Amino acid sequence: MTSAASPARRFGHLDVFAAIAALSFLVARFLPVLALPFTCPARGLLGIPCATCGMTHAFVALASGDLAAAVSASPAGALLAAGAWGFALLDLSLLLLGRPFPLPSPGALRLAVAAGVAALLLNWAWLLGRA
Amino acid sequence: MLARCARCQGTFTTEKFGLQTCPHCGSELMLADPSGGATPPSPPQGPPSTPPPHWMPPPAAPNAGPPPPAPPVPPPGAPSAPPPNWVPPAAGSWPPPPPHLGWGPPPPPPPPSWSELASPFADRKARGFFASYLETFKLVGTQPADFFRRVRIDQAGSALLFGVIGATIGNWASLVFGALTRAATIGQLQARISELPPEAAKFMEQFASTIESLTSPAATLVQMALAPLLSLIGIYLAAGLAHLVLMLFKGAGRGFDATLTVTAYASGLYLVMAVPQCGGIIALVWYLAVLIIGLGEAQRCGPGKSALAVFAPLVLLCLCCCGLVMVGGAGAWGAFQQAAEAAKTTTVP
Repeated sequence: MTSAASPARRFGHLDVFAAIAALSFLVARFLPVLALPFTCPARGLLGIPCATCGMTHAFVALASGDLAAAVSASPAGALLAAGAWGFALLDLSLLLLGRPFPLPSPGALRLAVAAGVAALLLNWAWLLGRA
Repeated sequence: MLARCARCQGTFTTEKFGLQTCPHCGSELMLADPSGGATPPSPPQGPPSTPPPHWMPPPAAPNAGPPPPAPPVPPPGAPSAPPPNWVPPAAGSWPPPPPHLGWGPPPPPPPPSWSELASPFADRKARGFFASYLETFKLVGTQPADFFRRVRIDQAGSALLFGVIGATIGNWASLVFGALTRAATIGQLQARISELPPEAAKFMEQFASTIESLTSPAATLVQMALAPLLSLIGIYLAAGLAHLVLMLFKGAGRGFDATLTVTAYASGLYLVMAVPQCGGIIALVWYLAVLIIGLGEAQRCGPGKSALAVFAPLVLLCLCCCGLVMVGGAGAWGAFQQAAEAAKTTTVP
């Protein structure tokens, strides 16, 4: 139950996560993160990608508006970036309007967590198959 | 008194019964008066002028006469008086699980049979900054079960400040030590590369290049400047990951405030990273142990679910070793330096 006459919303934990997500967009868009000399240990030592391989490329590509390159680098990374930035945009907009964020029920959140883990494993299988 | 929102499960402090507005999600909720009477008078506002003695250890006086009577159990919903001393609650005094009442919103949890206390660091204005910091560090590090069972979870700001200070100072010391020993470490690494198989040698060359970049003076200064922000982000992300797993297994009954409070206070133990060589490893093990104990006590979910909440993200990160390297880079760097120094001391005649 939400009242339209509720007092102005305070900056809470949810807004901190939204700020972190917004910060990730700024980093992916404006900092040369792909220039950092980094090699995935699994790819370097074993020759196979790990489950999060390509996520940095996906974030950077999506921040530049290249959806195809983002999905090609890592489908889960593209999904995570889109979800995180969409959440940040929605939450910060509602914060400016003083309206509460529509929280899902605990059951729905549990389902979302399980789906996220499953998506990560599917992403890994896709990366392994492509490699 | 503490109240919990039935919608977002967040806890907050309120002074009265009746219609409330959740400060976390903005929902309205009705807090029923269990006595059915008028609203009780509000307690005095603001922190106490003198530091309360609640967090002091109990006096060790085995022959000092009969034991003092147990503190009275406050009536449900009433503001409970603080206990006279820092005494752990009796075994078996945890509230029983609530009965299953159907598909409606979960009922508010029964009040604890002991009062919740502000941590010494939350009372830093009255106790003094350094004294309260050291006392909290001691309680978190040596009595985590008692501390997290009783600490207030609606003072996350103090917990975050405690964690950010400890992790920042530890990281600063670790970065300075890494910069000072940079040449010796990279030299030892390059010397070992020739003894490795070609695939591993190629990877180690790239790893050495990464280390060289990260420990340059400019990169060290940037990392030192960003350390407080990265510590804050790290605490939130670690708490978020642990809380997601706790939610998955229905072990987050007291909301995100409890998880964040435990994670933040436990992160203060990263101050030990200031110890050269072994500090990173000690801090990591200590942090994980306190986190498991603390989550189990603060969320009232027991050590099994809390261990799962701590280790499941780590296992996932091991699976996703890119993330492991990013998150555990500091610890791995410290361990590598230790190994390089040990190799150096054994090879020098």
